[in-house]
Amino acid sequence: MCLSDFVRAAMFVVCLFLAKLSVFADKKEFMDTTLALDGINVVREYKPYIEVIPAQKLEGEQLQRLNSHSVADAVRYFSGVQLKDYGGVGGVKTLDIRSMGTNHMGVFYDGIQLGNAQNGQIDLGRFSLDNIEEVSLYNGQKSDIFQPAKDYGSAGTIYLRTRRPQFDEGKRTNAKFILRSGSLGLIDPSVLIEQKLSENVSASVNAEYIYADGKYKFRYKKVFSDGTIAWDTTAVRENGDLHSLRIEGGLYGKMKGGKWNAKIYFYDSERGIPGAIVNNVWKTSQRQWDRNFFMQGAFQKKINSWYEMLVSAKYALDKMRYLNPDTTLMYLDNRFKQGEVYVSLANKFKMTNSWEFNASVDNIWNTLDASLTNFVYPTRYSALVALATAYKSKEWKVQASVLGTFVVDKSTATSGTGSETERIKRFSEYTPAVFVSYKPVESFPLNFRAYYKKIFRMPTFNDLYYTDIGNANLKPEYVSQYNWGFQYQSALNCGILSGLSARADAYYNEVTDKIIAVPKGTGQYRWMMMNIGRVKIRGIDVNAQARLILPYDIESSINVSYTYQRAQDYSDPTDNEPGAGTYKGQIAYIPWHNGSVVVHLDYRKVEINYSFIYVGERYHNSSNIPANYEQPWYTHDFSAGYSFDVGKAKMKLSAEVNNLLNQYYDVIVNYPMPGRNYKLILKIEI
Amino acid sequence: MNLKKYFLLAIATIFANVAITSCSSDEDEPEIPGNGEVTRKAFILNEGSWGGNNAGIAMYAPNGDADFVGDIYFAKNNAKLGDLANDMIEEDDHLYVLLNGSKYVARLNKEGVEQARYVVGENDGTPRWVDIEDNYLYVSQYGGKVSKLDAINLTLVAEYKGGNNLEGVVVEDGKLYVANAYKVDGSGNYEYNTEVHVVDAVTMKQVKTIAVTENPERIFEIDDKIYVMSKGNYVEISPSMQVLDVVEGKSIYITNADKITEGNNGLIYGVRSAYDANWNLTNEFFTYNPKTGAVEEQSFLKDAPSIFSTIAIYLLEVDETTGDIYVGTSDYVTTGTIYRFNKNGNLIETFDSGGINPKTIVFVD
Repeated sequence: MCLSDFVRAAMFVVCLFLAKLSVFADKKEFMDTTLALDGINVVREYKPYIEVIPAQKLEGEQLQRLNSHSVADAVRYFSGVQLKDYGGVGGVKTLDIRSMGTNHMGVFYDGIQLGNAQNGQIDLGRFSLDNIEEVSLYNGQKSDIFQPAKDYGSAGTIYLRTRRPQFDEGKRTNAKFILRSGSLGLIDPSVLIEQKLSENVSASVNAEYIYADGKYKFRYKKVFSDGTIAWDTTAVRENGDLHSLRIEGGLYGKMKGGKWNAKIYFYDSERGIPGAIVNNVWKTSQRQWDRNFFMQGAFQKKINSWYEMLVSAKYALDKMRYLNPDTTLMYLDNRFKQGEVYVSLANKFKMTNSWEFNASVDNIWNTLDASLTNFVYPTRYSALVALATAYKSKEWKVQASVLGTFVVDKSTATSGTGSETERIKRFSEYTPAVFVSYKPVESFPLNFRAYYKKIFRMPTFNDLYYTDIGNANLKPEYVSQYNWGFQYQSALNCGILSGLSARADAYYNEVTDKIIAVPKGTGQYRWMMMNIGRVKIRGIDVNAQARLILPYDIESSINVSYTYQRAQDYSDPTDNEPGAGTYKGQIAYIPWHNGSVVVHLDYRKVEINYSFIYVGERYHNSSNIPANYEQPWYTHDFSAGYSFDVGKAKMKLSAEVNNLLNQYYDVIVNYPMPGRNYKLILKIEI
Repeated sequence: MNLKKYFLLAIATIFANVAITSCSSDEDEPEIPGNGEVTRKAFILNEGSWGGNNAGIAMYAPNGDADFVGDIYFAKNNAKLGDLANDMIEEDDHLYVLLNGSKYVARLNKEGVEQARYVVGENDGTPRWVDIEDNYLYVSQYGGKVSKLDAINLTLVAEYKGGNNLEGVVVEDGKLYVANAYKVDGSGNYEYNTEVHVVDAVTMKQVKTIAVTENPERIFEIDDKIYVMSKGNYVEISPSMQVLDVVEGKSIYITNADKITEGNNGLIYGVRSAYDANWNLTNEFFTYNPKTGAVEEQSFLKDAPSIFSTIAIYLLEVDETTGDIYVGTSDYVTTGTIYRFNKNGNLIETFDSGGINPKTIVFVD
């Protein structure tokens, strides 16, 4: 980052101060601004927060109005993240937060972590925004101490909160139908029914079916950094089809001093796996079937004035079938079955009005079964114990926690003679985290914050045991994070401005013992997992939001995000040739600059949304040479909606144009993304 | 400063910029050597990475009379070579190159211009290795096939079907020797085969099979003898070199080895790679004398860099005209490095291979 960027950032802060001083002293800085929108109470931003460092959030109407099909599309608007997207409707979409790698991202669904002991990856493309009320991103961890131990266990976390039923006065049933259709052969109907069972208990059922043929035209053009064209072809993406069915049911209850919920989730899908586009190969034939099931529940109650408890439990069963019908090279028809049982108890003790203490204990059992000969049938038992304490005063909010992780892995090795031996591996580790927030002036809504966190990820079952590539001697992969920043948020009301918030953070992360695949011997595609990676990441995240009341009853909101990252590969000090060596090279797929702009405009029953995403130049390899260069890309997405009533039904018709300028780009090299595409959406609420 | 001065300053800045950028671009872009000026050319095949579509052919002038070109195929054909190049041979001033990922065989002239292409059928296995004799190419393929192609226009003349995933192929004295390496069952398990198929090059019918160590991969013909490199089973059976007794139909173990190449002095140079308990790679260089049958364990490279004991040796070839030894190293993800030694094993020079995974080098006089 050059000096001028710092100067600009400093000027921005000064401007905010001046603007604030010249307006008025705001006594109600954390005022809730609640707007009644189509009968649903949508709480907009600027809520008071109890965490030391609040999350980046997309919620309510703001979330629904993004041109987003899934959670994966929505999270692109957060700063500090990179979405790894293999393209199309069915392509895997995982999130890399602050360049630490997609395996360090914890994804929580209604408060309980989604697990994947097999490969540690959660495909965010599979979570529809239909019934999601809020998506929050936390760096480090959610700095609210009253949470299960698992919540302390990731380097970064995404929380997906599903919609809790809310009923208008006198209403006992809500029904919502949505039909989406558009490019890529998409047909996507969904239905949501919410029923009030009693004053304190309500239920919801949500079902969605998606079919997409996944065909889209792409132009494949590669330009080297010196301007020469590597290749230029137009073709149609094949084998990207998706059929999926998702059914969810939930019960939500409340009681004096407490609440509970129970959920059941089922997802069934079949998809083609569109491979890399390479010369002379335009179609692949691999397919994948997934069937995911889980049920979970949580119960939270304040027992007395100083003690509150939270009990959570989950059972999950995930089945996957992978078929590679290539009979010449490697015919594969593999089936995998993962099971998880999770039980957690969190206990919060209020010592004084400003001092709280929490003790959480989680127990997790994971199993993996696969149709592979000589498979070791691994099981993992993990116990997590988190102790945390929080202190707050007018100026300070401080939280410190330590997480103890105790893991026992068992596997069964079968020797050539058929005898079985059980192998047991134990691991334990303690990792700390400290979060601090300081508000220098009580009446001025500016907070400074900092945190330190050390955490690790266990090697996944695939890393350890996958036939041929697994390496049972792997150690965990560690991340240390340091963060400094500030946040300004105010519901100021001056001229057209009706709300303003800004946040900026600088951070330094270090990943050590990074688990990476290294080929073993030449040819024949044999790989081996090794703990040899080391990455140092320095970055800045900036985010600003403003709400404007314009003339002619036009309301508008603007959200701008920017991320600068220098993520350098320190794995191999010997590979240090200037300009070509991987040592200190920017790691694969991390741009130095990326950002987004989202603008919403409302005029009575009409809404218009615009979003822009920019991802700057990158390399697909830590050797930053022209052959590994990836061009910047940006997309402009537009949508317009019109709301109207037909009898008692509230209807909304929207149209979306994504990638308006029809830019052809890749997020992952040789996995082309769709060009301009359209969508029509009809929502009916009764 | 008045407007005029600003204007002059602006003009001066533009000129300075142009001067700076034009200087640097001259340095960045090597001139593509013209036809006929280069006394000898070496072509380095860079395999690329899987799914990367980044295979290429670099051109290097051993006599130093032309600049190195990182991808002569791209420079001459304005197209990428494709995905995973596996083998390249030279015959009559022409290059024949196999693309394993992109599934085709191409014939190039010695300038690097593509002249003909054979695209493997969609349901056919990927091409692996190639040999040439009497104007016919023999291309081994996964899925159990050897395609016999006309070497000029690359049309299919005949084919042999047998075995599973076939690897190395050589043609010697009217017979093909083809390594039947392995197969993978539906559960992803590798079953390693233990045979070399001997096939009549005219009738393309199997003559017999010869038993060898598990997982035969490369086959070499050196001084009319057939050497087979087996990769073993990646567990207790190590990679090794064997020589075939064609008459008796058996193989004779020589030593453990991963790669061998023919010197221009009657000797065979080899390298043996192994992983220690911590999965660190170790390499040992050795020399085999076919006349005495002796394996000399002392390295034939006198001043090899220390990195040679731990980095993947991806390429080992000898320039039969000069006897110079070329060693290519790879970290599998970034541009490889070529080390050129003279025939006495003294390092002459080191240069980037122009792409990922330098696989082989061929010389055109």
